[in-house]
Amino acid sequence: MTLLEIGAIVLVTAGAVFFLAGTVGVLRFPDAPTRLHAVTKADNLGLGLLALGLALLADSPSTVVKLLLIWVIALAGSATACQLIANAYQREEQQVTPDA
Amino acid sequence: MLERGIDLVICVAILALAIRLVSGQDLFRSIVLFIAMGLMLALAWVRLAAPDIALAEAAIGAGLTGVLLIRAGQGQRMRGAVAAVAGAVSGGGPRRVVATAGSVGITAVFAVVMVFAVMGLPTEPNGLTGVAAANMEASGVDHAVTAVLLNFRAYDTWLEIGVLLLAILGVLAIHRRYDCGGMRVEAPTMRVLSWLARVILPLAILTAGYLYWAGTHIPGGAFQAGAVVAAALVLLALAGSRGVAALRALPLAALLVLSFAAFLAVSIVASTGNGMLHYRDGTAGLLILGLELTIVISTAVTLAALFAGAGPRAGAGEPRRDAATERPKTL
Repeated sequence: MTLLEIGAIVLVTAGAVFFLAGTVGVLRFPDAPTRLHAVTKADNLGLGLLALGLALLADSPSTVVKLLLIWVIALAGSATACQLIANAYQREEQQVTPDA
Repeated sequence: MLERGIDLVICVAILALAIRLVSGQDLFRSIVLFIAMGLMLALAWVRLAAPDIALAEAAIGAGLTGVLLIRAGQGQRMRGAVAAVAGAVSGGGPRRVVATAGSVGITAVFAVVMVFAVMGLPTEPNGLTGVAAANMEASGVDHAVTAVLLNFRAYDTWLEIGVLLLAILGVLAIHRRYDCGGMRVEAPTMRVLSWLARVILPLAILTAGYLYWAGTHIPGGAFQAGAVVAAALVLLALAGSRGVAALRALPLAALLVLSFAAFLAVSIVASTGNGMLHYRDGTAGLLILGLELTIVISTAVTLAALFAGAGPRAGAGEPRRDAATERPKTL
């Protein structure tokens, strides 16, 4: 087993742990903002670690660039979706409890 | 062993998602489950070594159809209709018995037919696989799926484009508009969203160009490319971009029929006497590239226009109470 393979295994495993933590957070946390916190932080970092780990094993530079691009686009998408859901949540909260 | 396990997890997930999405009462939750099921189906196609279908399923089946369903679910009329159906089924009494027995019966019949169909499948690849592989040289492209879609069975693809065209014509007929004026643009609210839309659009066009070009030799293709552009257009419309408002000046009808008309033109002008869409020797490659480009444009505009058409009607005022919401019991 080469050093690269060991590094990839460590990174991919760490990424999977973050995904697991994020999923547990979504299931266990009580309301939308804390769930968003769990899913965006954990998944962004988890996906980054997965992409890095797979990039170590990639057979060409273009695959490395594609993997990193996937991560960057997923980061942008997830950050935007987080904002949108949090905004919708706030609006709903204000409608339900106008004096809060 | 591990691969078997992954396949099993995907199969169980698809079934579980399907059961939950049809058994739930909450429309929005069902749509979200539908999107999740589409993504699992895409994974299943990847496992079946059919990346072309996986791409189409993820982009059109899960992505755009999901967005269309959410958009349609926002309409007051749709909510009323769903409430009426749910009321009729959950109402109890003989009606519920009939509904349950009917759905179980239909499902059982389909299950039996499916089992026989799967048992009847050949275990060895046969049929037209060999014929298609033997004629790849003459097809004008290097990717078997594209050769089948745009050459050997171009007629089927033409009819599929016709189905898409009929669907959008139906939507436009309901809206009584035949230009992009029906394209509803949200008021610009979220700075983050409009930022993302502006960043995604050039990336989406680049990706679509890549998919379009890649389709000639590796998995990819015109429908997937069109879906990617359509997704960017939908994002722009949601973000309230003024760029989408500029689309209103486009001749919508011309773009919608472009692909269908191109197939018609090729079948009349550029085909041999041996049959419709039977390309002349040496012209297949160029004709396929041309036809695929029209598919990209027409698919993108059609899907974006379906999204615009699925929402509340442009110019409609307050959401109206519908007959279905007022008397759900009688339906």
